[in-house]
This record gives sequence, structure tokens and C-alpha cells, in this order.
Amino acid sequence: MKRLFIFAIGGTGSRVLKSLAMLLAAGVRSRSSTPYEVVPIIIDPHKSNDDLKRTMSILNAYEKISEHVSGGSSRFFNTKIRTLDRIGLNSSPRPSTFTFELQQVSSARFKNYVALETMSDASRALTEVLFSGDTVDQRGRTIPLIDVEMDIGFVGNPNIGSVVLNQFAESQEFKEFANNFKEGDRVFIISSIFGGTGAAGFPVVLKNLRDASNSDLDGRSYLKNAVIGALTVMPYFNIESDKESPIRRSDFVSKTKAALSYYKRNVTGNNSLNALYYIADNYYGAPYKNDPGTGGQQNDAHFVEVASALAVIDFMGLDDRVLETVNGKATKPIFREFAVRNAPEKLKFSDLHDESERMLSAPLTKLYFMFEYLRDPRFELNEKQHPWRTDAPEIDNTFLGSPFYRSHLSHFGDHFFQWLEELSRNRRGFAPLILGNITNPIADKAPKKSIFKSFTYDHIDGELNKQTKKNQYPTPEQKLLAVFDSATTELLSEFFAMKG
Amino acid sequence: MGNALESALQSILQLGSAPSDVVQVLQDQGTLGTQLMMILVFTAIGYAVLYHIIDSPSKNRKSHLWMTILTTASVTALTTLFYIPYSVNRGLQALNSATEMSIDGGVDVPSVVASTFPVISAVPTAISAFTLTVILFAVVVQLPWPRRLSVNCRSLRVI
Repeated sequence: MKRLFIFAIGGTGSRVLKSLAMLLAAGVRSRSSTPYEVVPIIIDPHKSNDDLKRTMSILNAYEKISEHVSGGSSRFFNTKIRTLDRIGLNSSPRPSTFTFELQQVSSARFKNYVALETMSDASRALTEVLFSGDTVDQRGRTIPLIDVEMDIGFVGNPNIGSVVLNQFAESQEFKEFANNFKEGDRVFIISSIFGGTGAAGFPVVLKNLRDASNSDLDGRSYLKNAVIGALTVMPYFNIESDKESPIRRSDFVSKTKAALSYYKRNVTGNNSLNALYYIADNYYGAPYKNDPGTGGQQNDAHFVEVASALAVIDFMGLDDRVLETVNGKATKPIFREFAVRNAPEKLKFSDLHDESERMLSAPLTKLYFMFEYLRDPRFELNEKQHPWRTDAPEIDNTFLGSPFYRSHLSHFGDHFFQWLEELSRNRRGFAPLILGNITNPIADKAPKKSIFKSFTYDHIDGELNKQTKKNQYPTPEQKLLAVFDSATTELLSEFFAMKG
Repeated sequence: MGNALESALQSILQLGSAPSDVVQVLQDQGTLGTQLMMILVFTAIGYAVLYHIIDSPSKNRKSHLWMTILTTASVTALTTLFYIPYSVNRGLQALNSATEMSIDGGVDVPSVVASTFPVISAVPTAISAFTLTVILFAVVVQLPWPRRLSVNCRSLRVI
């Protein structure tokens, strides 16, 4: 199977990956989707970042679930997500993780990283000029920029990030990636343009990918002409004003302009990319906490991250013929933006344009149905009541205690609801589904009703029973996902006139 | 109906110790065969109603199965309570009429005054029919193949 390697850089990279995992779990795909195995590689020096931790937890659960249901008929979790070390033929010496380990960053100050003390006077003076200014340390105290502790990230300083991230090409992860890169595989880079890590990391990663042809790595010939796409996330949220913090919203736009100007010459201007997606939102609602990295950095999910994840799915669906690369240069680079039909403070499915609505509405509603049903107390109580549970292979309460269900699927479901809740309460919000209302779940579409029939919980059980009667399933894991996939497709069609 | 089966049914339905003319009428009328058919038909109707007509995800609990069994058995018992006396008394009436006609013709036959069969006498029979229906329903419900035709009740059984 072809692979899509996703380099997710910085906090925004992690948050977009989280939304992507949710969309892939729901079975979101473009019209012309080729099946890809997704291999995320998160590049973020800020290991204690809560957004990163949550994304890792979600990806780990997703990976385990998709391993169990691989080869099944369900569209839920149908796209495989795997860690870089698991795709190779040879076992990796690294621990299995989705993150890229930046060396000498943990508990290190930037001035030690660049060995400022050992530099000549001239070099030292130049370095101090290039990295002048102030920032904050982990205790929130103001310190010179050159003294920054890099395990909280680059605190909005791409000049530091670009130096540190240059170790990328020499890393074990990059070698494993390059050695496993085959013809037909693709690369996608996710980064923000208005911070530190993403803005610095994107051009560095891109340059190293294209320059890999000069190395002795196995996949170098494919990498040179690899199909590479990228998403650059421009400012989309507001942050609290804090005089003590080095992060200021007023800097977002100027940093974006500066980076775009750099990209014009070194990224888009030299056709290094086959496809570049831009995204931004000029609506600044409720401000995020101004946290340069010392407080754990956990931000609510945002619709822009969902739309960004759609860019990845769109990229997977692009035809190879329009993504031709010759001598490391895209012959016809593609540039895309995202738009909505209406832009209220809280978006619903009908506020999206047709294609986005088609891609998101049915799959997300279906996944919602499944997790909402599974967390309903009636589910555990009705162990022996419904044939869809008692038909072999049984979905009995023993199965509900298995690691697959208890540690992975339920855990993913908890994250799914948290994600929906955060999307809904954020400003701009995305609230297409009504949490806790399984019989009227879509915010802008009521179920069809007649004097003889209105949508009830029983219809879900009835459809699950019907689907189980029609189909055979090899394992309870595959059965659980497949039966919900087909049953919810039928329910959406019957009661909501939606094609699943 | 074979004699052995008939005797067994008489015994099961608590009619083995009935007066001889009643037993004779039961045999002549084929009442026991009809009664047996009634039990079978009612059981089949009860089964069809629960598994294939209602066949609902919310009406597929064991309590619903037992409600249906008990309702079906009650209907069978009530029908038995009135049908058996009606059928037997009609037979006895015919027997009495036949005896009178023989005397009118001057033929020397013993004078017979047939018994009657009040409804109260059929109570043990009705209880037996009730029990028989419950047992039969329980056995039928254990058969997997007709149950599999159901969508929502196919996992529903007595044990």
C-alpha cells in the first residue's frame, strides 16, 4: 500500500493531526481517494505540550484500533495509521513513537546548543546579534533569547527553530523515513506560519527532503521527485494580551508576512512543492490563554484544524498526473484555500460548501452515532437482549472488558467527544452535532417524522440487528465497527436523507 | 387418531376418569383431536405474533416472551374451558335423542339418560391445556431455525 508521510511541526501540527485522526476514524475521504497508509512524524521540541500529548494518545489508540479491524468492511478506522518504526522491514532501534526526537534539546539552553562559549569573539558577537531580544523561561521569568530553554519550544522564534531543526537530515528518524520511502509514496508537511517551530521547521524539512538525493539513503531517488504537499496555517485564533509574555497577537500578522515573503523565494517561488494549502481565519473570538509553553499549552480544538485536516485528505485524492515532479521541481504546482458558504460564530454542516459538507456530515454523524450509542448506559445493560450482540462473534460484556474496547476504542471515543465539545465551545466554533441527543443529533437537520414513524433509540437497535442478520463478521472487533458503519448508513439515508 | 394417542391425551387433559358416555362422546366427536389442533394453532399464533409480527427491538426481552407464552396459554385454557363442555354436551344431547328414538320405535334397548358435562368439570382440562401450551411454546422457542427468521427476537429464548 502507498504511504503518506505527514510531518506535523509544532503545536498546530499536532492539533491538525488530532483532527485528521478524528476524520479518518469517521471514514472521511475525498471522491478519488486512493487508499494510503498514514505515517505521522511529529516534530516538536516541547514534549510536555498537552496538545502534543493528547494527539499522541489519540494516534496510539487509533493505531491499535486500525490494527484490529484491518481488512474488515468498515469505513471507520479504515485508513491505517502507523509509527515510522513499524513500517520498515528491519526493526528500529528507536522506541515506537509518533514523535521525532530532537537531540540535545531537552533541558538545554540555545546558547549551549550552538556552543556559544567555544566560538571566536567575532562569531560570538554575530550570534548574539542574530539572537538578540528577550523571552521567558519555564518559570515565566524574562531572560535573554539566547538563554532560552528549548524544551518549551522555540517560543515564537523561528530564527532559533531554523538552527535547531537543521539536525533533521542527520537524525535516525529521517534515515528510517528515507530508507522506507518508495515510489508512489507522498509527503505532506503541516505547520503554522505565525509561531516559532512550524514557521522554522517547514522550509527546513522541505529542503532536506528535496536534497536527500545527494545522500546515500535507499529512497533518495524517489525522494527527489517525491510528491510533496504542505499546509501552512496562518493566524486563526486570538490570544490574551500579556505584557510579560513574548507572544503577542500583533506579531502574528507581521510574522506571517515575513514568512510568506521568505516562502515566495524559497518554497513556492522555486516550485519545491506540488501542492500548497493556505488556511486562516480573520475572526478572532474568545482569546486563548497566553502560554508561551510554560503552562502546558492545551488549546481547544478549532474548526480551522478540521479544515486543515480536510486539506490532507484532499491531497491524498489528487491524481498523480497533476502532481508531476521533474528534477525535484513540481511542473504544475497547485495552490488551494478553504472557504465556507456562511461564516457565523458557530458553524454547522449547512454553513460549509457542498463538497466539504458531503465529506464531513455523514461520516462524522455516523461516528457520533456509534460512540454516543456505546456510551449510553443501556448498551452495557442490554448484553443479552439484542441479536446483533448475541450473534457470533458475540459483543458480550467480556468483549467490553477487552483491551481493544476498554483501552483503545472507548478511549478514542472519549477523545472524540472532547474534540467535538471543544470545537463547539471555541469561537469560531463548529457545532454541527448535538452532544447527548442520539435521536436528534444534527444541529441543522431534524430527523424525518410522520404520524406513523419518528426516529427513536429502537430504530438504531433494529438496524443493527438487521445488518447483523445480513452479514458475517470474522472477529468481534470487525463486527462492532462494520455493523455500526452499515447500520448508521441506512439510518442516515432513511431518517436524514443523507448518503453515508 | 390412534387409540394410544387418544388415551394419552385423555390422561393428559384429565379426562381419563370421565364417565364412560362422556369418553364415548369425546371419541365419537373427535373433540380431543380438535383440542390438540387448538393448542398447536394457538402456540403457532403466539410464536408468530412475538417473533415475526411484533419483532421489535424493544419487545425482545425475556419478560415479553413469558408474557406472550402466558397470554397464549391463557387463551388456550379459556377456550378449552368452554369448548370441551360445549362439544361434549352437544354429543351427549345427540346420544340422548338417539336413545329416545329407539324407544319410540318399540325396540327393546336399555333406557339411557346420558350425563352432562358442566363447565366446572372442564377446569382440570383447561389447566392441562394451559400447561401443555406453555411446554409446547417453550420447546418451539428453542428451535433455532424458525427463530432465525426473526430480525429482533432471534436471540430470545426461554433458557
